[in-house]
Amino acid sequence: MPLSHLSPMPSRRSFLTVAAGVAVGATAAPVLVPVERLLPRAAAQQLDGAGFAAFGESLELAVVEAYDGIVDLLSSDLAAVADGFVDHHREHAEAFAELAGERATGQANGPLLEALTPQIEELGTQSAALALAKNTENQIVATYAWALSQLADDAAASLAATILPAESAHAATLGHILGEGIEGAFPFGAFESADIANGLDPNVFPAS
Amino acid sequence: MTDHRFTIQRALRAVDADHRAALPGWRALLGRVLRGEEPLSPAQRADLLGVPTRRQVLRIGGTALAGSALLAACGGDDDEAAPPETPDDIEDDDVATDDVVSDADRDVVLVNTALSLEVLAVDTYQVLLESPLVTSPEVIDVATVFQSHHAQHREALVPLVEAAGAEPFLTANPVVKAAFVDPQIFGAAAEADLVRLAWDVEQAAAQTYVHAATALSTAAQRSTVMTISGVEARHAAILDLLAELGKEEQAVYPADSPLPSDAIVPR
Repeated sequence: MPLSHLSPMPSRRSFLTVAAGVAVGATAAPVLVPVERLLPRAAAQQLDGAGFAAFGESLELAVVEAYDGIVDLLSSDLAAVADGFVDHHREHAEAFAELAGERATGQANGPLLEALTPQIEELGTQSAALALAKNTENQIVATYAWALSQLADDAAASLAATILPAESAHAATLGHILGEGIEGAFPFGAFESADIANGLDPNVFPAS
Repeated sequence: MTDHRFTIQRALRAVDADHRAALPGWRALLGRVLRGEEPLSPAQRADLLGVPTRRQVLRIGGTALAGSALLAACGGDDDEAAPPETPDDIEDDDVATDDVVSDADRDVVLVNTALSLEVLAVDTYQVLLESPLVTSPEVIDVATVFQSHHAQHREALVPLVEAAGAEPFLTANPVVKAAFVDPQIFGAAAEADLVRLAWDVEQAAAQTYVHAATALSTAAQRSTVMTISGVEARHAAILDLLAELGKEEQAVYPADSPLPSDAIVPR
């Protein structure tokens, strides 16, 4: 799979541009309507709960594998932080699998791994490894925020809601460690993005 | 006050442990209920899902008024408060209808409660910014940005309440302010004490949104509140790192409300 499939991961420069755009918008339009502003324009389909849960399980397991792939580049202190995050992602995967029932696969998301693996293999520094992890966490957050706008299944929506803030906190922690300042910790300003263009589209990254 | 805070933290950790232990079974039960596999009455389903009945909402409204009265005694403004329901009113209403409150009413309660926390967060950061205890440039910078975020959240929530034909609750949550925030402000002896207070407010707000997302009636509203919750979790993570508070990051945010029932804002 070409890396363009991960092109939604914004660079630091594009993060700054997005954040600045949000700030300008907030100034120009004090009465915000975040539902319309943040939701994807083309998202029309509704996700079914078990299908989304199987998708979530696959994403979480892929993130676990991604962390496993970068841990050798990390100092012992940061490896401990990454280990803690991996434990969280495993817990998330288990929760999604339970909800997915018979549709759970126990497999990491193949297309996502296929896209991440070449990037991981090219990583040469701790900072690059942390940036990859941070961007992936941010993509997962956007994915779940988007999914919440699509899910009619209460149990799946509730589960996504309990997990999303934990992954937001991961991303912010990694941004802080990278010394990226506020822009790095809040790539979309005062709100998370719910635009699947900033996340991982289940049509592009289907569960195995 | 420090002992009190530790007691609260211990209690919260215990609650979190209990929640984690109960979560798998609860999720399975919830799935069965939502798929219609559990033979429950509408009232039982509502109780399980944490949906307030009309009786509960009225009781919450009456208790919230008591909180506003406390605020007024401290020199605050209780213009937002509605006249209290009498016990007879409640009983009559319950006789008339013991149904679950409408989706729109419940949504307004949830969003207005979140709104009251956003106002409280803006005010709390203002206290930080004006406090002589806060001198670190990093803390001042972060508090300024986070206060701006909360102001944007407040502005984003107002249209949701107005769209339901209700009045936005633009007062800092009086119960949380009086019972939790003000005592910590008055007892603060160092910058870290105020940063820790900000962390508590952020965590409470983030969890309140998670709770709301499990109960709001539309997917669009759920998504909107979670785009806010995630940012408040980011705030908490940054505050923890900045002031070296030593907080443990949570794998999941509990779906139950972190607020006492009298902090729920009536419609």
